[in-house]
Amino acid sequence: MKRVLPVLLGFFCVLNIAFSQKYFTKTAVITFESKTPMENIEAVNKSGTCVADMTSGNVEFAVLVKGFQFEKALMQEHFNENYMESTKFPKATFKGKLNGAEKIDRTKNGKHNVKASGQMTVHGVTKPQTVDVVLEVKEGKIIASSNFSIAVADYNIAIPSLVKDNIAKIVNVKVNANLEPLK
Amino acid sequence: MKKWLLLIVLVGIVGANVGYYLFTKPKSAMEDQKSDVVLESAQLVAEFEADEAAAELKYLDKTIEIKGEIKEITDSGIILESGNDMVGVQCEFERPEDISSVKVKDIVKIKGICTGKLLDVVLSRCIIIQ
Repeated sequence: MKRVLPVLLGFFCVLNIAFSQKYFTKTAVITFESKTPMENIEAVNKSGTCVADMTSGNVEFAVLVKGFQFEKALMQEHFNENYMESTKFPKATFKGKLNGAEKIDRTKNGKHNVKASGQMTVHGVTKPQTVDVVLEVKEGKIIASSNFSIAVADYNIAIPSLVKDNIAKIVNVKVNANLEPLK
Repeated sequence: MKKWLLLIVLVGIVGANVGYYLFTKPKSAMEDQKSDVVLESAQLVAEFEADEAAAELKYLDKTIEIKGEIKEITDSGIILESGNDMVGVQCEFERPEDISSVKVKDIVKIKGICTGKLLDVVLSRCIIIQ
């Protein structure tokens, strides 16, 4: 028995790592682009957090609006003060489900296309949203990437008529998260 | 009459230039920004944990000079220890080469802008000052 116990414990430890269900990152990269014939605007945030449970499919994503970095000082100021009102609404979040995540074999490397559906909160407005996500299993980690567009009007973001030709009504959002198993 | 016209045109040209300059001005380098607050990572985290809304009012958008021990080095920055296992200070760097010379357990002084708290308190546009 004395000999069996450590072996058993070791076995459970290995099992635990191999079947760890929750994956996590604090450094998800979120990029958004507004493209118009007049001007292209891009901003990046590298400190998004994401927790995904690969058994239940539950996923939560959050990003601090003030962390988006623009090339030009004034753009960043307008984005925060006029459009996103980031002092009032500091976070943008997504809570939902990765449909089909439980069917993914996480012991084999490979790419899987799934849909994430849930509630997205931006500028204090919560809306249902479904986005396509690619989950790539690689050496026990999961690389999640998604590319989707949102209409700024859906989230009650008003663009003044003076700059309406410079800012797109529909902006593209790219998300890239290297998720590691939660220990 | 001609003088008037000339003056108006001149004012117009100067105005347009100032406007263009302001509109396209890049962000000022973090090196040139004065720190609004100087404190240790433990205190910043403790304040956010005690009352997030009050800490946001006090620190959001402020340039913070922070001292702490490196807990973890990530893809885009550093996480500082705070004495609280669950919450650290996440410092995002613009230039990845800035963090190539530091290692876990080093005590560093970092300057950055506070953008709020997710799991950790987040500072953006960080540079190492010591």
